[in-house]
Amino acid sequence: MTEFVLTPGMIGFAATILKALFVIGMALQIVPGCIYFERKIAAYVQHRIGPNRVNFTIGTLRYLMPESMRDVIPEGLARVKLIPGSLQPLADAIKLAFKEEVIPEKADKLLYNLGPMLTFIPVGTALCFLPFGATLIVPDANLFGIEIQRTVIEMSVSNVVPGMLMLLAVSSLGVYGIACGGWGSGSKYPLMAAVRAAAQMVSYEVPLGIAFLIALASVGSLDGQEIVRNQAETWHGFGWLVFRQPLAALIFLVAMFAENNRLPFDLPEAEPELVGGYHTEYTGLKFAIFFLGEYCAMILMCGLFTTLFLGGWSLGPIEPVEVFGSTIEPLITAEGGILNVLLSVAVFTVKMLSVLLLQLWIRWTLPRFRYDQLMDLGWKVLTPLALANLAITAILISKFPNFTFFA
Amino acid sequence: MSTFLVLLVGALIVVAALMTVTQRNPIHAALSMLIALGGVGALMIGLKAHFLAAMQVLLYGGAIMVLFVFVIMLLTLREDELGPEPPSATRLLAAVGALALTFILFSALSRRSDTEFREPDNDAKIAAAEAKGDVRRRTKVYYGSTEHFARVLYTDYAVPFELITVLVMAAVAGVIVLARRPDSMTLEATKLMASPAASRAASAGGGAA
Amino acid sequence: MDPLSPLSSLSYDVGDFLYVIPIAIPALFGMIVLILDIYLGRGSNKTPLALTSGLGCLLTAVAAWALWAPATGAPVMAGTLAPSAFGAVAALAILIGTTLIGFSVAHHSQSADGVGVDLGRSIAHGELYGLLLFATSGMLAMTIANDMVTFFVAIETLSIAVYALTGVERRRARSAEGAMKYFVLGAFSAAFLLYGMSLLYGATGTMRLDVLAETAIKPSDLPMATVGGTLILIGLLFKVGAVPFHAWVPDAYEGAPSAVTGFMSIGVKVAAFAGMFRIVEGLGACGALGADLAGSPVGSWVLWFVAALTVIGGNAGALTQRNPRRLMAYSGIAHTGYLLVALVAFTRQFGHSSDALNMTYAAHDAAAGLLFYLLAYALANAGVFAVINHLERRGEDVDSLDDLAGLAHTQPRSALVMAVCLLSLAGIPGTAGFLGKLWVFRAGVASGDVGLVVLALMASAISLYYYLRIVVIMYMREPQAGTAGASSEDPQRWCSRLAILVAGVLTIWLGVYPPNAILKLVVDGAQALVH
Repeated sequence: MTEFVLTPGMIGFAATILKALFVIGMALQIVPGCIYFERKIAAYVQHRIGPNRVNFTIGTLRYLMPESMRDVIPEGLARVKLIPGSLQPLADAIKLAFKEEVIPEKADKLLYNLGPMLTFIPVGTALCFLPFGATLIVPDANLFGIEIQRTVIEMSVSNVVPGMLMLLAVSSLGVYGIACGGWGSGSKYPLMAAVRAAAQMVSYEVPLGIAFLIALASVGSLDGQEIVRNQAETWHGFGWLVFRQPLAALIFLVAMFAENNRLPFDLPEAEPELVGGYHTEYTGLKFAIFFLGEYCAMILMCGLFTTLFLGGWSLGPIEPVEVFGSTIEPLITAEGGILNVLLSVAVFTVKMLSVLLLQLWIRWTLPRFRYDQLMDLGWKVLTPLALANLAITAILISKFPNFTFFA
Repeated sequence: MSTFLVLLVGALIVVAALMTVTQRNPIHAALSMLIALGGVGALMIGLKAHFLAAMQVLLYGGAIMVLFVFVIMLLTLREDELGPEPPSATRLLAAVGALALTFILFSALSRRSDTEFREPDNDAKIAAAEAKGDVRRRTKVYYGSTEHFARVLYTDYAVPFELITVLVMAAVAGVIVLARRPDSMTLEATKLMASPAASRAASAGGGAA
Repeated sequence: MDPLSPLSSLSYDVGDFLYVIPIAIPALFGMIVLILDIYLGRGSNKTPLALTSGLGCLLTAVAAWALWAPATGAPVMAGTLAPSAFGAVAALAILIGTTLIGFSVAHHSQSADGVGVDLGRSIAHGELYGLLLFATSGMLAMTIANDMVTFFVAIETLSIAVYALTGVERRRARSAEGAMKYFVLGAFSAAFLLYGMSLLYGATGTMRLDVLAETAIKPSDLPMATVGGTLILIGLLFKVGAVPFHAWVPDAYEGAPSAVTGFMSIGVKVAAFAGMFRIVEGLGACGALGADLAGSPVGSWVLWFVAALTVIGGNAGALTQRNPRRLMAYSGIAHTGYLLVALVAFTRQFGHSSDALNMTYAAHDAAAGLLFYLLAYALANAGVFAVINHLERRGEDVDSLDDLAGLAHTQPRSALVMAVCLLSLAGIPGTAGFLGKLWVFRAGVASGDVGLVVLALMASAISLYYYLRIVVIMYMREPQAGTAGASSEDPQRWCSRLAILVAGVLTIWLGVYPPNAILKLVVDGAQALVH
């Protein structure tokens, strides 16, 4: 009997599919949570209670049990809510799914239908370039008669070398969704919103891109994994770029809000002026996909910020091996081991969710900018600052090739 | 890159380019052009020129075509503003010309005997660079990598690169010349717009005259 | 040296940067002029701008003469540039255009005696001079570009600046129309050029012209290289306004303000011809001009037809024109035709005919003739447009030849220079234009293109009609009331007067007794191109 051999190519292919499913799955899982938290935080800021009607109760668990055991849970206990309002996103989704699909008469059918897709597809693609965990090394092994060859799996769906640049490039295509949706609706307000959004996103892509460049230049690589490793290895683990390049981090953070059309820069959706923004004319699942695309874009930008400025999946000065000590076999905890990778993915997720929380929090704290203020901030403040920062960084790097900023 | 993918992407580019020319709706044409440009980016990825591909998408897709779409959106042309259909004779001539050019190009290109791409010896280059010790960590120096591209751009092609700055300067100055409002007209207009009384007086004066 | 230092990976000598200086000076002065314009303020006297850009051009000319003229044409800066005396002469011709035209508009549309005189015109002077200088920078780069990338960037630099200049007079619909036509067709021709370059690169694997000239193309790649070369030539023939591709010329020349028209007719043509000769040198040497047909490549026969058409079309078109700018446009097309005669003579050397040595001599003559012709053409055109600009300074357009009536009575000196320059364009002995034509036609005869030369001579005889008609109008008609000549009391017109004077004197000087330094430079330039 010939032995079945798993070559690195085969493992890599399978891993890529699994990673893609994982990334998209994660993003789609975070979105409902995000919506829930957004409502809850809004309520908290405004001294309300927020969604608390649709939720699991302990009684819900009955349906998971065999019929004979359902009486175990007493009636009083069954009414206790587990997380108040936690099913609200599901209820929203069901509501949207069953809404009547209305296509405005004056709409450009093609563009109207393309709009939501073009918001989601670039974001989904860009997520593939995000490094979300430490490198996994599958060792040479022989399991159940299947020979496994040593394979290095980078924890990002695509690990091309200028991956970060690809991410920026692909995510910059998100404007088209808004533009198509706004223009294709054949209605005045969505068009104005789309024009605003396009202008805003193109404008803020400049400081965003320059801040991005500063980060890349300080690290000296376009490779996401390399950027994270560099941050983890400098300054005894504290070499996060948010400490090394605080100004660039701030600029990136501000531009990130504008790129995502979030408050305080949410002029494309300013409801007192524009009814409902570029998706005024959308209903049902198309509206839902618009929504999904926007939240995924937020997740993407938060992930990017985490990777570039917050050390990505690295845990700062703590080495995971030290935490677990020698109790677990080195195969698992050593660099490339499965536990290490899982831990790094968890670290990345926590960091990313913290940034996401910051975005939600700011939305309900700060008032909206005026349009001229927005443009002034982008072109007259952020861009010159970012350029100056880039120039200084470039000079320092060329003068001191091994410069890690005061290390 | 497999021939199949080249053919697939190539066909996509050709179809998109054709749509760019034939679409009557300007925004559809612009989006078709976006597809064609993206296809070129895909071909670049196939040639392992990832940096160029990223630049292609970032600059053409993320910046230039956005401005195209932006301007078209602002114009919001109605059907009757698109102008008359070009006469069918013109279109026929254009089609014949395009076909003739296609034929010439195809016959010229298809005669090439060796179509293989001479892949530069990347491994040797990486080894040589590591031996010299001038590569930082995982820096890739293979042909077509970002670092290689940057080195060529900023050393060998320093003159054209710097000349492009002059080009951009000229373009900026040109845009200012062409887009700046004529001073006197603006003054008049702003005065009229600023005070309703003045504009009423102006119109009343016009009526009296 | 530190291996990470930026200089360590330079593949050329740092001293090569010297050759970039003549390209850098105009760009630098362009920015200085833009900044200076801000400090001068609105509505002030803009003469300092003209003086500054003149100083920039002078410095550039000195630098080009000192740095490029002694160079042999060997590639520098990693092969992106190939400075030589050829580039130096072309640079001189371009700089003559920029300086004289720049000076002649020093007071264009300025209200010398109060507000409101220049309501009809609104030329932004800072941007005008800035764009002139940026375009000059691109043109100079084009004359010594040795790499198709450099070449393309240079041609785009000058094109974009000139597109904007054409539309600089925004309030006139004609200006906008001309700019639009020029821009759309120019972009189209740039696409041809770029497509050709990429095909040529695909066939030969090199972007450098000197390497291209030494490449032996495989027979299987030859069709691709030929198609590429053809597309490049189409793009360049568009830029010089050769006849099947000339449709934009009259509209753009008429639409643009006279100052810009003058600059366009000189700078763009000189740069494009210099670039075209250098590219054709590369194309011909590697065989991309096509197979031999009766002793010379097919390409040179095609160019023969283009030259014949251009000579006929340009002169025939000029006969009926009433607008001076339109007339100069057709005259420019005609001169493109004469210069294409030189190009045809130049391409004969790439064939495998029996008298290869003679053909090399003819090519040498053609290159030298081209350079001298370009100088003469630049001076004469600069003179004509300087006079037109001088007359237009008070805001009246010179839109009809009748506006020039009686100029000899009101402004005798201007009329004299204009007459001299027109005669030079017509090729009357005693002017620089005569020597230029003589030289070019001699090359044509030497290469065996007697038929083409006879055609060009006949056409040039026809051209006497429309050139002399202007002279007749200037000298033998009474001045019209309220037209040209009204500006004689303008106190600050010495700039344009100086430009007119220099153009007139140099045209005569080059025609009667060309200085040895210039002749040596011209011959050296030809030597650098033809080995």
